[in-house]
Amino acid sequence: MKIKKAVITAAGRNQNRLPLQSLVDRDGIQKSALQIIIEEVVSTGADNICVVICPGDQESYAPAAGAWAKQLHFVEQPAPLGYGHALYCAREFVGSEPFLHLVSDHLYVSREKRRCAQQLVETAAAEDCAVSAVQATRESQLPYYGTVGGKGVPNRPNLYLIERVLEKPTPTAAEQHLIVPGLRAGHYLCFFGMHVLTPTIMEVLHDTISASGTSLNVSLSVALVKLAERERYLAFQISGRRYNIGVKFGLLNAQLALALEGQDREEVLAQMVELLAQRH
Amino acid sequence: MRKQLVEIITTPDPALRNSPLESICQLLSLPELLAECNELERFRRRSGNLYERVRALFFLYAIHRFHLPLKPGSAGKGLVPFEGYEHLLQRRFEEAIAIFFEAQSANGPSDAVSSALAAAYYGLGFQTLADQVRRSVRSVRGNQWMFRIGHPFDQPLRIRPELLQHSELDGSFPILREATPVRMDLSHSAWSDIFFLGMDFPEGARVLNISIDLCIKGRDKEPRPPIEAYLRVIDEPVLRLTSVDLSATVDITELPEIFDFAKDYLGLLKAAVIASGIVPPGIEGSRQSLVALLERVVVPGQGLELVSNVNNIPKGSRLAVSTNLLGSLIALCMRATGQAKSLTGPLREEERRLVLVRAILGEWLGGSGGGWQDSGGVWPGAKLIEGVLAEEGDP
Repeated sequence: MKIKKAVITAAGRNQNRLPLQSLVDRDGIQKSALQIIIEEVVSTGADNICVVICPGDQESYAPAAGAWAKQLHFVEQPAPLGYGHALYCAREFVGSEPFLHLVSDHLYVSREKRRCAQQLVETAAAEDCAVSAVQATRESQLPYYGTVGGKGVPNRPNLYLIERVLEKPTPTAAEQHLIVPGLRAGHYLCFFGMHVLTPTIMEVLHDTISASGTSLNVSLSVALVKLAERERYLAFQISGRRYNIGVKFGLLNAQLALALEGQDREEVLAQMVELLAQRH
Repeated sequence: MRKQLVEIITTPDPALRNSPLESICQLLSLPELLAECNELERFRRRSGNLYERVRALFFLYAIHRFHLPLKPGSAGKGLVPFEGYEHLLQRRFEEAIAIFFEAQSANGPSDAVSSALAAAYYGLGFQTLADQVRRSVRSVRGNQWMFRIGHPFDQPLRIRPELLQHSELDGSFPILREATPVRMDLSHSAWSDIFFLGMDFPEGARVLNISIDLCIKGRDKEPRPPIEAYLRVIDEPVLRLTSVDLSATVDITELPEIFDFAKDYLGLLKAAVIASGIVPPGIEGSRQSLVALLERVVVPGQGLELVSNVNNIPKGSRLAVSTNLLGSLIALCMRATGQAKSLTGPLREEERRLVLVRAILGEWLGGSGGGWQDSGGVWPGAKLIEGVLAEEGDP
């Protein structure tokens, strides 16, 4: 499996400004969150990128993409019909090829030399199937993430065969359906905001959208469950951390994580110590 | 000496195991009965088996309450040690029993000390069962998380967004309503909760039970569920609990108030809020803020109002009103927080089972301690409810 295409969804009506926020990256350069996400994608070799946006957002997104703007293919989601529908809007761009998919409100810090997206794409290529990146997450964070249940793939410590996907489950449902052997109590495998998907997902979404008629919320999680029924679909526990910039203090957390991983680590630490000292 | 009463408890022979306590006690003299009590006391302390411990405790209760005082040689008058009495009031039954035992050994048996011991054994018997209920309910998947949450920041429940959309007309929030029937037992092995009955007589732990709606002939058009519960978001960071039929209402702003079941007539509503996970049982005694917890579950500055109403059913109706009201309130809270999939319509089977387990937890939290076969109202129609034998690995 060779991944040459990527789809970034940024059409959430309340969150479409998040990718335009400015941060200072690991290398000390000020960039938009969108640029940082595109760099994550390009590191995998997938340089044919589609961004799904709200109608009229291209004007602000193209400048925010910086030097990458010329490589981007913008597709508008005409109405807010859900995450699954947003991804489906990229069906013509995807065609019959597997693709890397990232959300636009997450930033990543890898714990190894390879970036998070690289780890995922290499795993998907080796397993030759759809793979979603996941992170063991405390149950208090369940309201923010899609969550998977399944069992470990024999002799592959970080790979799981997905059997169930629930979107933002309650702790009750998670405990009943999503417990994965080997994780600490109260921890679940939550999506990392990064997937390698096969074109089958577009077929599944097509069927779902055709069946739901005028449904206002086409869920990607439901489509992923159907994908798991049709073909081998794995979860891969990435060596890295995701930072959701759409939650309270999310952007601050992401900025601190990036800065503490980069060349300005000492300076940022000194500023934090100074702040703490002033506070007390 | 023979340990006749311990043998009754431990024997595999059903004929001996089902011997009435009276048949043994009547034949024993006071010293012999006291010796049997000492054996039972030692036995219940060393036994790891729930059935054996509970049966020994209730034997001890019955002996001290009904048999010892009648034996020649037992003093009518006596003094109950005040320290033991204080332990009893604080539900520290083991400590109370130790002090009463000491008094009995020093001064000889008396009506007064036997009465105190009977009360302590009775309390300890129920406490032992309640601990077991807590352990069982806690081990059910879907409930374990509630006992892990000790801080508002850890609370993973959120109110459903539909309940946060206020009316543009008057600013009020939508009201979620749950209506639940009561239950009637058509046949019953005895007027005893299946939990206790099942321990001694497993084949008798069954009840034929129907859900019923009520109406007054000639007045009402058609029968309707007599139990109603309502929930809505309010513009104050409080937990407002109201019972319409009991004319009681309270605004709760502190966490410890929710765990104080004896303070008012709203114990069932408090138990429902806890058993549904809105105020998780694990947060008791954490010294955290209820306002911070409500911020997490609802939104900052807003709270919840929970109202119950039981329509025209007299007290002591034997229709299991309290358990089904608890079930109704828990189902309502579960719907409001997305733990039941749908805001309207019937619950799914797995949701009903969770409501049942949580209603039992609520019953024991609130102190009534019944309800094993009473949640029948949660299931529509007629059903046969049976106990099953415990298996290896069961809690």
